[in-house]
Amino acid sequence: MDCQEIQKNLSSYLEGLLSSEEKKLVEGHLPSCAQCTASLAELKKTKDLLRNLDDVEPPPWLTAKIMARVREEKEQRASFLKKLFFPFHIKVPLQALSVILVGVIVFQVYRLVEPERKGTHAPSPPSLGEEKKALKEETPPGAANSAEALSSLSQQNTTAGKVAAKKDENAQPISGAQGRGVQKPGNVPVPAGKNAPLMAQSAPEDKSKKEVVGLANAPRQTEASGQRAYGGAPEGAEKAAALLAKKGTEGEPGAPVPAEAIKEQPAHQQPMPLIIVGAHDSATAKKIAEDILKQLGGKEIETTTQGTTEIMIAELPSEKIKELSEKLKSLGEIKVEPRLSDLPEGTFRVRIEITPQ
Amino acid sequence: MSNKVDQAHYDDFTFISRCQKGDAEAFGVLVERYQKKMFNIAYRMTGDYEEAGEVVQEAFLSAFRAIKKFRGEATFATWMTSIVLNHAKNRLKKIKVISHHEPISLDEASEAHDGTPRFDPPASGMSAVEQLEKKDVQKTVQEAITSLDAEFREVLILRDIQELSYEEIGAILNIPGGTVKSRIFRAREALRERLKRNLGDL
Repeated sequence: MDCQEIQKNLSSYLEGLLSSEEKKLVEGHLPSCAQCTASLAELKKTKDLLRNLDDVEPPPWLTAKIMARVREEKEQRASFLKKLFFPFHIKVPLQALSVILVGVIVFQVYRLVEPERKGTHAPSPPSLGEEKKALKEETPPGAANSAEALSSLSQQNTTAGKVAAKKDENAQPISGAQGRGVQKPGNVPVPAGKNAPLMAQSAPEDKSKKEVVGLANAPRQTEASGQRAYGGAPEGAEKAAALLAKKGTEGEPGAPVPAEAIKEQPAHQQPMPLIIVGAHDSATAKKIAEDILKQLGGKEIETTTQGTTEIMIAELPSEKIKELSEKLKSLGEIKVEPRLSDLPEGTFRVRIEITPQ
Repeated sequence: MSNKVDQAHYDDFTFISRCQKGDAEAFGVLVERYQKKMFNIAYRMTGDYEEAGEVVQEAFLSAFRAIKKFRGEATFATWMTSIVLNHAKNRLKKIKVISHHEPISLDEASEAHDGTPRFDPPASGMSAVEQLEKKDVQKTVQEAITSLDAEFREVLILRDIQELSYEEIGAILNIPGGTVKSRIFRAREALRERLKRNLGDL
């Protein structure tokens, strides 16, 4: 084995990594070769020099500095996370605030709308009493069929009817003189159909309505005079309208309801018949009602939606209005005011309100 | 691996899992435990006390950032050593570019920021001359190491200074055992040549 070969293995020899055969070869060569022996010594020295290098003391602040940077890093990461999630903290009050704001707005709108709805419904109990009879006269037993199932309620209904009718008398001295059945509310033995339970419902409601209405005083008067007008001759209606107009101009800012009523009525110089339809599906009912209106030749059909109530206004001759009320019965319970029999001849703007049930 | 090493590995791992759960202070224990070893590796790699400090800081910071990826397949020491070596090598490349291939001044390298090199207190019983000689020798050896290629430096540091096994070195450098062996021999040969030149008679 030549020196080059031996030199290659010297490091392994030092490490004790040579096989016994290789080891023997190296050990056999070394005593006879000064160069290789020197190389081995140098290698050993090199190894020792490296091993004997003293450990260097790191700067005393090293750990503290590393940890300061680690904490900084963690905070940065935390603040990044905060940036991601912080919006929730600020949004909670914002969202709460907006929820409250929406709540307040809804409440305000409700307060504005509510008296209007009550105002339009207010005259229903008396007029129901009337309508009942009107219906009875016009469509005697047929329409009452469905009422048979409710016969057990008849007792209550009659009582309610009485109350309602009494109110009628008070509220409508003039029309009462004209309407045949009104003077004898007690004589109404069986409620005329579906309207009866509705009336029973509305009778106790009347008190609260009175209270609400009483606040502004005007609606009550408006109703009274309005009904007087319906009951009376067209000239009476004109008077009432004039009266209403006057009231309107006098201004009752606290009572938006009559204000609206006033606005609409004098505009046409005619009372506006109102048909309230209670339908299960107000959207479908609206479409059907629209079709009916078109069939009957309704002019200037306007449709609006107020909350859940679909409102339609159309111009119809009075006999067509009667036909309309008949057809609308197919949609559900209806309330008509004023009595259509009291409606004078001529063309009217009729208002149909479809409320979901 | 001895039981002692296993115990240390297990002990490290408890702190590592605490770090992984977001406890940054647990990392402090690991820093305290390994900073000296890592600083020495960095110092031998760069030959510069200041640079070594920077390398170690960056390396520990990288380790902290990546602590969630540490699965315990290697020991923390092994993992940390490879991070330090990578940072040191990157830094050497940068320095090389900046200094336009000028060798690092070893006068600066072996001195701390206040000009005093920080070595462990010398063994007692040495004369002042002996101490001075030793210091000179150490400086020359470091100079010789720094003059080698980075891949020679690292194997010598790991094998002859840190006295790690071939297996561990292979794991740290991610190279096969045969390569480790041959690289060590070549590195040692190269160093022997340099030392012979610098020190005269070995």
